Amino acid sequence: MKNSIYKNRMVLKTLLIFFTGIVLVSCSDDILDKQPLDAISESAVFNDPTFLQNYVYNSYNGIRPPWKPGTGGYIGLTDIAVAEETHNSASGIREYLAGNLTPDNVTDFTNMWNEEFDYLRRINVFFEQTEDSDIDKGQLDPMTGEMHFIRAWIYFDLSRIYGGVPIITKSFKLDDESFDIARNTYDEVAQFVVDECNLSIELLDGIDAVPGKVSKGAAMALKARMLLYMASPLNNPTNDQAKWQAAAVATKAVIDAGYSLHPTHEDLFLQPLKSDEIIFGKSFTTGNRIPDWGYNYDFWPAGFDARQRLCPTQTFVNMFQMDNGEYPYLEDGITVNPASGYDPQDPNVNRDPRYYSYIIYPGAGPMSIIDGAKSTTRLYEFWEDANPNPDNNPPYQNPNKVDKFNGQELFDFGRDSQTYWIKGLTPFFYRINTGYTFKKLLDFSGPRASFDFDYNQVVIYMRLAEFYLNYAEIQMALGNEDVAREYINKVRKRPSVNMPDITSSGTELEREYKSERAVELHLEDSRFFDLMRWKDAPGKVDLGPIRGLTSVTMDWTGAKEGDPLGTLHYTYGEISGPDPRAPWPGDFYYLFPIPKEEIQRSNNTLEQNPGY
Amino acid sequence: MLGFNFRYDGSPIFPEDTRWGFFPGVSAGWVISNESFIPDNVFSNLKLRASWGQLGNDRVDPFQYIGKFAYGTGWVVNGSEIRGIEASTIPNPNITWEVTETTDLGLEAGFLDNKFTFELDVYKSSTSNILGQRQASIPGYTGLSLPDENIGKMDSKGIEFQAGYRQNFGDFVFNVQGNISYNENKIIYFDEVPQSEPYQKLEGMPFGSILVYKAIGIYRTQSDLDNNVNYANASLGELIFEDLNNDGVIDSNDQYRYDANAFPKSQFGLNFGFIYRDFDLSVLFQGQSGAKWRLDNGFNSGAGGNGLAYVANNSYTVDNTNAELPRVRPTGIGASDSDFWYHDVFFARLKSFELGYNLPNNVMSKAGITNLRLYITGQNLFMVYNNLDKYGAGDPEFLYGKGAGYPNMRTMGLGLNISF
Repeated sequence: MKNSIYKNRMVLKTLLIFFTGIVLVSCSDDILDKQPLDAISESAVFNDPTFLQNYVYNSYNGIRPPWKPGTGGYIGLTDIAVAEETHNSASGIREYLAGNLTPDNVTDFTNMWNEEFDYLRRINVFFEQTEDSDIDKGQLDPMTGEMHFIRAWIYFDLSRIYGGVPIITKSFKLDDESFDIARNTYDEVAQFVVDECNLSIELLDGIDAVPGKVSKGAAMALKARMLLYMASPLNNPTNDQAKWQAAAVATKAVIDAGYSLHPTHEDLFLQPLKSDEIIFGKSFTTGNRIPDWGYNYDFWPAGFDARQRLCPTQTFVNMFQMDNGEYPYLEDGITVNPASGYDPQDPNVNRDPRYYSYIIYPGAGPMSIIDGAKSTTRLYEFWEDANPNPDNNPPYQNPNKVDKFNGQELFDFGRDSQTYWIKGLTPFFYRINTGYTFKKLLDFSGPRASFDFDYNQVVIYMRLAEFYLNYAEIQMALGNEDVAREYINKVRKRPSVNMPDITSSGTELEREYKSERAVELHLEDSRFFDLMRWKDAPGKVDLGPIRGLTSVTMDWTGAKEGDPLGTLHYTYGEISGPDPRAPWPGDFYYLFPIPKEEIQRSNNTLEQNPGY
Repeated sequence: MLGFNFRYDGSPIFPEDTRWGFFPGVSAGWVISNESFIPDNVFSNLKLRASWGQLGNDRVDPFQYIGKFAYGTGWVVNGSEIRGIEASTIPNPNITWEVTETTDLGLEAGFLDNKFTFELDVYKSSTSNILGQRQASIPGYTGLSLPDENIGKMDSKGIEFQAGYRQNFGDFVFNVQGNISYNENKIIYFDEVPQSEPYQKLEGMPFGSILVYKAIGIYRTQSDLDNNVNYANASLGELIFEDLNNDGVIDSNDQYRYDANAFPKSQFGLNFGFIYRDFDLSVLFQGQSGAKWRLDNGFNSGAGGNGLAYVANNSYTVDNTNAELPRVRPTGIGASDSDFWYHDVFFARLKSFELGYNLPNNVMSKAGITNLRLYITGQNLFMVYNNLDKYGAGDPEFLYGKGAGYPNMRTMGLGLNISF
């Protein structure tokens, strides 16, 4: 009995093994023929209008945001800002400012090269794949219009960084015999951008603008901006008036397209997109966040436990007029303008309203800092003790002993001072401190640093105020100073700003225009490229020395409990810390070099920019 | 002895046409000591063996032969998130197995009743169809996101040697063993940037070789600046680079291909021990040479910005113009990588140590204990030799430029094992 059970089991086992063997052999070919489970097929993407629109939205990311490269962008190369070592591209900024940029060390700034060409390929694939598409024209045309805009934007951006670049309208294939391609001239690229914009305008005509989406107005604005760059001194050495005329016509078309200045400037950079003024912009969502830990962590003052990637220079602070329309300083930045009523020991009164919105200065605030147990509402305390005891030890004169929000002990020196850091009370204090911080992009309703908080800011690529200013510049070049003043004054007459009209002419008008533009458009990726196209780098990109508040002290004598401030004393001068900026190396430096490896890979078909 | 083996491997990672790979192998051995012409009293063992074989490697991302699309970064329209779709890598329909062919020749010998043993292995391997991306030669402006392709060939060869000796002197049993290995590799061809100068080619150099300048000194005085070919904006305290192509300009064409590999070429060990009655001891020394370590002279503010004290004390400053190291924080070509910073790593350390005492059985059995062992152990107790000692960069086995790495732990243990 036992024996037979055993036998049966054996038979069963053998059979099982036998069948398993058969099964494995017979289907082994199929087993290896797997398909990826997370993929969408090419034909689905280019024949389904929903998928295709998703493809187009992905391509939108080829539009470089103003905070790239790194977090902070190119503004740290100008006279209005100095970049901290915490800027993601700090080493590249140092190379640039030291006059040492070469085709070998451009990587920090030329991520843009590879990235933008990557998106160009996606766009070219779109055009190739949709040429004979069955998708309804009413659905396909707007997408095609958006793609022409994005391609135009990328080439516009490449042309202001590198000058002429190869115009590529076909996608390369892996088995292409040669990848060699030569550069087109700047004029060819610029014309290509204009042509692309015209196609986009045509295809998007009659389609309602949706905030965040490319519209006919956006295409008109990009075209106008391109024409302004083409007319600018860098690209128009003979000052051909026809180029200015073309820019004037295109810019006026944008101005007349139905946009209007948003009445308040302070909420322009907060959600939702203010579609009265913003021609093209992007807000953030859970899946489309400000990168990394958010703007706050990148731009808040160091004393708020943040990275403070950029500091405004005294040069920039001086560009904010008094509310009587006078600059606080004469053009040397040192001599007080006697007509202004400005007092260097009381510098924060009666300034342009935008000063209070855009600059954090010692004593500015109160601002709410949301940071867990350290959360509080306080001023920017960038001051040292005016009457310190040895080693800044107690007793202290500050009548306020404790922060009532978070219980932090208070001292005579502020919580944003170097002493606070030396005493080990904050981990952050950086070498470079002008005493000021940029405020434009900050969100004090959001936390100090967060990966998963939906911050309230938006990115603005193009807005009407820029085109008013562009138009003023064009009219100055055409000799119509009255029209120029009219349009500058439109920007100054925004209800929340309401600054007196400017009345100057000639070089004074030019100075006022350029300062107005810097104040209005700072951190919007404008200043650096303005200096380039104006050929106005000497004394600005190579600004030296960099001025700021070298010392701020607080005298608490006579202050009573609850007083937020005692008496502040300001010392202005050259700040130490920033790497020295080398003299402007020459005209060749108005364009970046093409990465050397790209030239080698093209078997020297690409030509380097002269001078490098 | 003769053996054959073969594999016929199919991988879903590759497309149908190139999916299957045939990888044969053969091995042979000859125990010479069994032959009659070998005197038994000299060789207790003598064996010659040889093998040859091929093996395939498919360790790359699957489906690279299919053009596919997937959800990716999108855009925000009217305040809401809309997904994007993007193409993954460009398909490579020709992708196939990477093949490594290895030939090994070995000799084992034992003398005097295997008191003295000896083993020698020589091998040579050649890897072809190496899977990698052609990112070096395809320009970025093509926008191609590259798949893996079969683009390279590399040879390597090496030698391993082991010897041991074992002797009983009555109660005293002694043994010692040593081993040493050496290997090197050479790229036969690989995808690379079309270089301007022959000395920049990757071909013929070890895997991982990089382009660096050849440092020939430090600009210490104005006359150094006057008497050298200088790069743009060269200044005092920076490294002097050699004009390798003699064109009177220092630029990236003067970089040369340099073996900066962080992997050791040679490793060695020495193990000895003895047993004497109830005591036993074993000690292991280990070491390596041939890896390169790069000294880092960077200083930054903020966390992680610390540098080495050696760098702080030995860098060029206006007060210390005879310093061993150049100034810190140069920009431009002066900041480029050069052979100046690379140092050979050569070290030997006491890796482990154990001294034990087993209590004699007759003592323990009275207490009902079957086994009692008392021992003391130690790991990574000290360096016998470390040629990088002066830099203070920590454990040379973990090569961090500023020494900011977690070293091997030095552990000491005192133990007692009791069995009832």
